Amino acid sequence: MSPRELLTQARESFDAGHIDESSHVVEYLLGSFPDYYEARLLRGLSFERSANAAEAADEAAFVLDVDPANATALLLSARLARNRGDDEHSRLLWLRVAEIDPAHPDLRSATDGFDHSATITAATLGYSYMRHGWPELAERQFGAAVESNSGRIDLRLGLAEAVWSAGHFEESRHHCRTVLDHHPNCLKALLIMAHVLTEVGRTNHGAELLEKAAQLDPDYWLARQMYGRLEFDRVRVPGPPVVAPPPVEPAPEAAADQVEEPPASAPEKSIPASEIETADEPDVSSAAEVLYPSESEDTAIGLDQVAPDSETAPSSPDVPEPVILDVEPDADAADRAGADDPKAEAGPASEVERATAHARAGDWVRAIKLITMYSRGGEIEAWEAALTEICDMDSAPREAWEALGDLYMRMSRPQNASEAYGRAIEARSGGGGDQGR
Amino acid sequence: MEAAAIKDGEEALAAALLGIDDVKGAVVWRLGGVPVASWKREYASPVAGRMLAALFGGLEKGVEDMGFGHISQLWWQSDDVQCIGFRVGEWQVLVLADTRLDIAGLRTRVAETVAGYWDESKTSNQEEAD
Repeated sequence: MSPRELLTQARESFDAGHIDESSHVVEYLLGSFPDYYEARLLRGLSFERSANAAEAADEAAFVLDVDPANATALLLSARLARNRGDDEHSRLLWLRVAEIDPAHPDLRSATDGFDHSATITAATLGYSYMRHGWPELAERQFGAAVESNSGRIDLRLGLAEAVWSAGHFEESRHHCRTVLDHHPNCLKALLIMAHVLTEVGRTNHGAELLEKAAQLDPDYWLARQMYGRLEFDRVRVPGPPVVAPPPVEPAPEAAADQVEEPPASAPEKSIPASEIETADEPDVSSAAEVLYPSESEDTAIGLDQVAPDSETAPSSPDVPEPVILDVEPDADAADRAGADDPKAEAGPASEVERATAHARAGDWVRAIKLITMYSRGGEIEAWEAALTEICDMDSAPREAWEALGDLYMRMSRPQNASEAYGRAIEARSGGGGDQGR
Repeated sequence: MEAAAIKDGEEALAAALLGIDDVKGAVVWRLGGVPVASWKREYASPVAGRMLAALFGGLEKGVEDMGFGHISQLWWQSDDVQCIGFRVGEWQVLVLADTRLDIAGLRTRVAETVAGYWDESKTSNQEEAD
């Protein structure tokens, strides 16, 4: 599983009200990726549910440092401010969310009838234009918004992204530097800088920034989203790491039985996650077992890059070190998983993984067969990540772009869909053995 | 089973719209669904129908985000074709026709076809349920 898939699992548990189950997965994930900001956000929401306001505020602050326009983290901060009686600060945060994402499902209930639609500002228009793929218009609005409120770093970041999307890389670099001066962990600014530096030939510096981004977003999910929209780019984004599923949380009676047992020691070698004994603290389980695609050995995320930082490390000192296994999801592995036989669904890899592996190996005929057969089914998020990666490849064929467009239509993201279909029109078919454009 | 029925329904409606005189193409989709297109002659790209649907969706979302409400009808004309778009509940329809065609007449016939299909679809669904 990728970290993002694990996170989705945790989020689903959280949404279903299974907070302990969600926290179990989140802590497992943070054991290996302590700065994974989306996992930290989910941990913050769990803290809020358990009335641990101080910890929740810390997590929200961390997330807003990484993603200053994160509506969920802003809403969390707003609720916490209201609870401690700071209504004015809370209102300012709500207004900011109304500008960033006026359709956020939690906004209306959180603001308790407050009519945020009446306050359309330059920032509102800037964010709206960016959502709909009009960076030139967004640039004008964000420029005006920054002039009237230079202290809002999310507006400066919005301006940087708009300028970058419009192809004015040098100007965007200037704005990103300003953002990173105040928020050195700002993920979007790091990714824009990584791209711009790579484009001007400073590839090593670009790769360093990309590695830093991987600590915050180990799947490179945002990188794929952002770079996938570019006409072309030279940034080599590594594949997502593969994480073993978390060990099963012991039942309460089983945990009670283990109280007198000596604590389990960390595994020295690769051991399936299901065989790793949980220690006597069921909520803080072992760290995720991480497998990195060896095809990108030179660019893969090293564990030293995701090692816990003393300030941000999770609260469990007993978390065993993750184990890296030399396993490569190559095309041969995909064959062994039965890619030739679309009905062989019981193989060890999912259709998403097999399609991605074939595409990485340049075998478009088999990749397209899997994409066209399965990408209209479930696993929308997994397919989105896979197709974004596949379409980012230089030789991505028409069928991949079409499938990405179809997926965006199903996700009610027509602007992204029209971009993907536009690329499909330009690309050549890869289904008949045509290897590239 | 349900998904197959929906797909057939979109294809049937697109084919019915294509039966209107001087209509060159029709695109039908549901919110959150993949568009289905039907053309009388070969267009430059097989993606054209889906691209038009996505562009319409982008405009629709933009208009909604600006607080101007939901687009229920749309019309545009180029050098070669005119296009009329409808939203009926969760269904969306785009019809491309020759520029010579009278827009009011085209709109009426498209609306009748959609309404007829809508009634048929509801009747057959009811029969299946019975």
